[in-house]
Amino acid sequence: MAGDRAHAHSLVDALLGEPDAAADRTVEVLNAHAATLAWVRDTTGAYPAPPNVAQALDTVAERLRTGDDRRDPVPVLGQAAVDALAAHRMTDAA
Amino acid sequence: MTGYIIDDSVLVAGLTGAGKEHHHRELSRLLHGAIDGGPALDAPALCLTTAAEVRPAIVGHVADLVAAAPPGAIDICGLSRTGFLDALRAFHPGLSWPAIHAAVHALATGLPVLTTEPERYVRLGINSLRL
Repeated sequence: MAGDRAHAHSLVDALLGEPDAAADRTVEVLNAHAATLAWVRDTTGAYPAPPNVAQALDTVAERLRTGDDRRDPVPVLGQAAVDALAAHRMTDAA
Repeated sequence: MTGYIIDDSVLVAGLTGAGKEHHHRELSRLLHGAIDGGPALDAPALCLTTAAEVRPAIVGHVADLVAAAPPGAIDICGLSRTGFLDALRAFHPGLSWPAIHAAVHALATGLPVLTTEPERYVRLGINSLRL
């Protein structure tokens, strides 16, 4: 299996080249964004995320991707999701 | 469960000369991550077919990756008739087949669609992320 994995990595490098620091950051943010959407899905029991929650996450993720915000994307997007979901529920309850 | 559905726009941008260098590098990072146990990548068959119209060799390259990566890390998914498929065709008659396939799979799995054209998926009731 380890040999298969090494072969798979070499295939990717031959096909696409090796990733660089910019790609690492973009995918770090993407993975945090996807994990946050999965948390929203699991918490609400619904898919997709409510539009205002998705929009809030898109806005935060964009700042993280462009370098305007260099913080760790996992807690930043996680907190944004908590805040946006709370606001969504308050709006629903009103 | 986390992962991505990669549509034809990502396959074309990442695996052909039509894409930009950053698309190649980002798809490379995503594939390396999937191989190492990170978020899995699902390519709908109709998205792969459409990307192959731009570069036929893509089919073989993606199949090589599916065969070499750990099981479930990189998949090609088929299209079946479901209520999601019927609803998307009924309410979005102008939507292309690759976009329909990506959206149907998103609705079935609860995963986001990774795309370079997120505007395709507006008002379809799915989450999309821009590569």
